[in-house]
Amino acid sequence: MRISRSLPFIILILVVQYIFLIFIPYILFRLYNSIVFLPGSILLDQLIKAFISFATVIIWIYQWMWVTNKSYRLLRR
Amino acid sequence: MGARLIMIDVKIIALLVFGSLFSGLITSYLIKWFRKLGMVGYDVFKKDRPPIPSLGGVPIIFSYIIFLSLMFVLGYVDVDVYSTVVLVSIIAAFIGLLDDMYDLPGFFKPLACMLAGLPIIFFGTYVPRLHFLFGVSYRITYIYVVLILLGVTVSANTVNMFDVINGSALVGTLYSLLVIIISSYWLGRDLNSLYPALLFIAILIGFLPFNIYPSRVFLGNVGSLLLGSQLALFGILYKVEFPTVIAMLPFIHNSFFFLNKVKGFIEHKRLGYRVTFLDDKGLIGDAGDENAPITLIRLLVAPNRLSEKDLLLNINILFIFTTALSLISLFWW
Repeated sequence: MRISRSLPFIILILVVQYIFLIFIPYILFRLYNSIVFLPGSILLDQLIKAFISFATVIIWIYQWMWVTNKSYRLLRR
Repeated sequence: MGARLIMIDVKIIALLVFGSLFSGLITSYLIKWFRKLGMVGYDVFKKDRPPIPSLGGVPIIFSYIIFLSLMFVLGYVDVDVYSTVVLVSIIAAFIGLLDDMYDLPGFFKPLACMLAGLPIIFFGTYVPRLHFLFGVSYRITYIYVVLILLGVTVSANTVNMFDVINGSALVGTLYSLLVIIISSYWLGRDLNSLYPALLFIAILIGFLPFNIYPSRVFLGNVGSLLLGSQLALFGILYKVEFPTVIAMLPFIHNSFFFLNKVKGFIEHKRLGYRVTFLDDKGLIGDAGDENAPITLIRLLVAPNRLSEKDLLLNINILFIFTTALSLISLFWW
């Protein structure tokens, strides 16, 4: 039975993503409940919040791929 | 929420046991048929690349629909849930079967699998609210409908892309289903409503000895799309989307790199370059191609080559870890 030397790295990457998955919705939830970006227009306010959510998800995904890329380069040395 | 006394009707236990046995029996019978019909794939991670019967999803869906129908007739599953589960399964499996038989273009499966999400919307077997930890929830009435279609196709194709070594997709699905059952029950869903998912687990357990290393039958697209679609379906049906996503993190991790490099849900066999290779000792190693996506398998074999059996063991460890993470999260629900 052989354990890959990558396994601890992958587990660490998944833990980081897990933490993101827990805290991002919570932080956004608190943000959206406490701030009204455009008091004069509910629709535009909702659109801004949707945009923030979308941008956050994109950043999260790119962070995941960046970390994995770096880990791969490290493991291949 | 939390622990409750579990009482299961003896008829349900009988259905689960016989469902599992039937699944195994029908699989062993159909394997010979598939071989005679030439419906085989080649086991590329064995030195002699033996032909292996490849429509393993057919006995799974066949067994599942028969026993789910029995549950419905006996009054254990209501008509909306029964219709949703049967239609989602049939649509996803049919799309996979078409791809197995006709090798359709790469964009077909992701687009077509969205159709498998339609029965959930049509029968209204969903609640348009996403729950996260610490009491956070979002009511997203219209966006949720879009997420259903995306969720089903992403889940189905994600599992499909993970069906690389003997048993990898099936093992990951079983762990994810375990999370769905436990988290659903923990969060207060009625045990009766969980019977379709319990039955699916039983059917897969009957199939497991034939697909686990060394495989005697492959899932095929018919099987892997079916498995993935059921994970999304049960996550939505039982309102445990978040725990399901956590449990599926290894699947998702694998898919990201395909999406990034290849810009689509593409199976390994369609790629123009090698991700991994088999050496003279029968060990799997990283092909080192800069153009190839950094899949989970590639990441696992990057520092040291592994046998297929050891690779499956490492995948098991990863899923055990994400299963544990997902279940621990329930304490912060």
